[in-house]
Amino acid sequence: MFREEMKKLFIKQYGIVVMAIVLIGEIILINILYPQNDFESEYLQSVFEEYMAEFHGELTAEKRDDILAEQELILNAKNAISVLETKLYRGEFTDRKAFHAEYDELSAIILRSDAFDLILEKYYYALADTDKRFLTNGNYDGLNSDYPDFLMLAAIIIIAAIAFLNEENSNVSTLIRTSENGRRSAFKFKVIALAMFVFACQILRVICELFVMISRGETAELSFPVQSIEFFQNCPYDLTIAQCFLIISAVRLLGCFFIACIVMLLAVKLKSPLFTVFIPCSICLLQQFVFEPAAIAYCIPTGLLRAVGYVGGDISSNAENDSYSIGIPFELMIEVFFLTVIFIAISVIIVGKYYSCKKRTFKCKKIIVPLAVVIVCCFFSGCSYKEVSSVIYNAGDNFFVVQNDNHYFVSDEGGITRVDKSDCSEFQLIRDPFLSSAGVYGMSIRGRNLYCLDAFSSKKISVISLDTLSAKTFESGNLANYSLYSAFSNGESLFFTTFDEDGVYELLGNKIRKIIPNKIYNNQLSFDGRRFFYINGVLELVCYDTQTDEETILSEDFARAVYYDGTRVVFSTDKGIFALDNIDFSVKKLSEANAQKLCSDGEAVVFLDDGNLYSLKDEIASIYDKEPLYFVILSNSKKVILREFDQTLGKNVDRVIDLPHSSSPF
Amino acid sequence: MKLLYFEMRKSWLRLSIFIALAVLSVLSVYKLYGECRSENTRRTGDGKVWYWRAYTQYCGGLSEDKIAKFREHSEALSAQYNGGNYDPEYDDKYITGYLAGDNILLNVDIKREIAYAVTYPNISDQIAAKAFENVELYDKIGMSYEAARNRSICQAYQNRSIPEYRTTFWAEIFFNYDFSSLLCVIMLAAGLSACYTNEKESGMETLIGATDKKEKTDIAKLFSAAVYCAFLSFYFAFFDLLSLNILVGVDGLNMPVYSVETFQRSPFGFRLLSVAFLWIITRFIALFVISLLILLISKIAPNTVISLVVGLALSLFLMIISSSDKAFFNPFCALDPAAYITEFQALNFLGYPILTLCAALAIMVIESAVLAILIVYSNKFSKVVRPCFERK
Repeated sequence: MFREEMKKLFIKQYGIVVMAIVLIGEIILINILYPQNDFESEYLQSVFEEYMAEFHGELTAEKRDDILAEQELILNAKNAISVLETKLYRGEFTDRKAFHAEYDELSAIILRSDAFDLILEKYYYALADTDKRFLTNGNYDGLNSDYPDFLMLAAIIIIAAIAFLNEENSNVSTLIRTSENGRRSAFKFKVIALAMFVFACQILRVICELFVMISRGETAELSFPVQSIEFFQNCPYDLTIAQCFLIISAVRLLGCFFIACIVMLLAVKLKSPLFTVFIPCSICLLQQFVFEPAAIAYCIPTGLLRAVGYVGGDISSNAENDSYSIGIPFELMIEVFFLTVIFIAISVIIVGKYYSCKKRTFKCKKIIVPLAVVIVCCFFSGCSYKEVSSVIYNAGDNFFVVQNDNHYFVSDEGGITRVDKSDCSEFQLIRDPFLSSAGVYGMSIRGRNLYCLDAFSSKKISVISLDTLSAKTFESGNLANYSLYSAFSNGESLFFTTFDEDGVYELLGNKIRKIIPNKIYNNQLSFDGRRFFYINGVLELVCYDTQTDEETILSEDFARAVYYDGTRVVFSTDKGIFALDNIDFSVKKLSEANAQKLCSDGEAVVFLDDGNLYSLKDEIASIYDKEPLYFVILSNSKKVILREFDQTLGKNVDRVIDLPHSSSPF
Repeated sequence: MKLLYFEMRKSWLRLSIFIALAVLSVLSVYKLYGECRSENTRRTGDGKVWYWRAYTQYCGGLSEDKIAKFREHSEALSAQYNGGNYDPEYDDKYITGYLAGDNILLNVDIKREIAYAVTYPNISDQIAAKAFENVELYDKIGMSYEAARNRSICQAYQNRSIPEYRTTFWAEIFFNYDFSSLLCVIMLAAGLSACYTNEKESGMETLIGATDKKEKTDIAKLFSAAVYCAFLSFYFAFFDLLSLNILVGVDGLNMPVYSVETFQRSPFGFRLLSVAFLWIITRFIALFVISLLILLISKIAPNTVISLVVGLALSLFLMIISSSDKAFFNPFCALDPAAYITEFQALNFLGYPILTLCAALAIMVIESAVLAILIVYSNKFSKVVRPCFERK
């Protein structure tokens, strides 16, 4: 009979199919719950792993000394490199080899600093309690999921309800009760079959989760104290990560048995399919929303479905609100366990004998065919198509001005002023009555949208439509961790730089990665929609291709300025000013002059040298005898706009000057 | 009507459903109490008594005399408290029994409310003035939609003022409390999941199919669902309001919605009572869409167990989506009372600015119509489609 009951539950009532669906769902969910350690670059990851190989595990006095020594080494290297860079920017180095002899060794140390910061974070956490907090490599975020496994609960409720209700509804249960063998064995084996289903589901989940945990960290880490995980820092018990995980899994298993027993009991007592399923579903769902503080939820048996609170201890330092921070006393936990076991026992005693099942006639074809049609239609409708458009972006300009064919847009204290290139008519761009017209910075243009950053919140990107002038806020939860310095898009990804660190980040979907980990010299960064051209900290001109992730050094001369004008990349080194084709990288020398800053419109180049502004087309001409803060050639207009600080007015003023071509001073 | 009554009796007009409703109502009160406590711990229990004692002294029209009197009293309390020369023992002359308590009550709770009521015209006038500027500009450059949008903003926000000082704490809670919407969805699942599956399980489906009243029965089921949604929507709104009246006290139902600080930028100038009715209607329509989804699942599902679990799973899925993506087509977005009344949000519909609330209502009505047609005519549809999939 045991074999028959097992066959009925797993084969005829599709228990095995449900289990397979649960398994697939769990694999997906667990992978989401336990994210990979998200490093901004592969190099960072490799250095972090090197550090972890050394410092991983208990924080001994020896490791502590090593970490502090490494911290000092990095700090010293940072100071030394700062001195070296100052010398370089002052032009004290004439030979790149002499510079690199000192620089390369120091920069190799500094490159480790990002990874070391992550180690330091773990070090300070472990330092607070070195006996219980070890340095871990893995990410165990999934372990603190404070909610039930709804997928498994749905499966258990469905299978338990069908197992008992089918016989009840078809009156086979009456027949079972009339036979001696049925009275004695049918129910016992039915309950065992159901328990095996619940147990098998939970075991499969545990195996999956264990595999994922090991893949996210290391097998050895499972023997570390659970307090090594920040969420469990106040766990009052001496448990290892593995023990904690097994206890949580076991408690959740008990919770699942509790729900299965409720279903079983309701099926027999109410004999109504609706309420047999409705009541446990509602209990599972509502316990998540009703209780605040959450600790109260652990005082009733549904708390077993969440489980982490029993071992989490007082989570005051983890929770956002102090009122959510009550640890569950051990006595209360035992009380809940005891009462739940009693409930399960009573349920099993009360419930009678049940039989057979009705064959389901659910046809997958009905759903699969329309679903396939919808997916194919979506595919061909172009929903999956992403446009990567060409962009003209120069980081040096973006605090001041951006432009398109007909207008230029200047940031000022009142917001953004749009100026018509033909008649110089001005127009305030921020028109939304609900937006404050406080200062903006970090402007960029893509298509008919202007991106800018709010001066009040460096985490908010506003996107202003140049057609309707309506403003929208670009929001991504992950951006909240960064203080944005500039932001620009190519239609597929959003790129940004930050105040805190050097380099460029890419936001694609919700994932952020650091694509350029190097320091960028004096905001000299240009972007054509696909390739970044920038001058790194050692004054090399570098190209980074966003599609192939390849980085190419284009010039090893001491480069100072780079600018992309939509047709070519113009850059300046100590050897002169050059034009570079942004596709095939062919270089053409334009002048022998040196430029500290430059800009171009495809024909003329305007550059700054020795505090004077010059224009270069066929020949060089001086156009302004002071050093402005910013300057940009306005395309299609033969004009240059510049911003300088007016001492008499005590504020920045913008001037527009024509581009003459007089004789060369060189 | 008889058919409708029978359908109601079959699906939700049952004692068991009302017992479930009673249990969930108790949960709702518990949750609402938690919300009030988390919003401001000084407004429930004794705090409620003290607040109302102080509030009744200053509520009503905001004359300069009254404001001056309040200012004098609150500043005196503040000076005494900051000076430290007061008796920290219990004293009957204070509303709370203590000077420090009165200081918090007047200088933190009531002062903020009065200040908002007095200064609100500045906020709205600024918005209206900016919009007016934009109207002229957009008219000049021929951007008719933006001109119309700003004209709407100008009309909506000009000449706004808060006529009286009335407490709006209850409204902050009431219009931000969406737990009762979750309870409505759970009740819908309980009441409607078995609508079709029960008939399948009992063999009634074949019998009804043999008569010429199949479509009439389906339509009666839809009307039954509509009545249920209307009942739930009204019941929970009324129940929440009643609970709030007991927990923190309700006043100022005839005050404009922007008298609540959270809704200072609301595009509506209706009275709070009218907005509450608007919320009931919005929730009714959203619940009706969800109920039709549940009915459709019930029609497709082989039994009640699958119907209920799938219905709840789909609801949970849509609920999770609605928390991150506020899409109009998702009826769960409309179950948040504050979703469409907090900000002026408009859509460009053929060059006219349409408030997102109207757009959401229109989309939900279209969704209801499509789902209703699917439910009523699914049999005819399957008769046409089925032979295509059957093996020959």
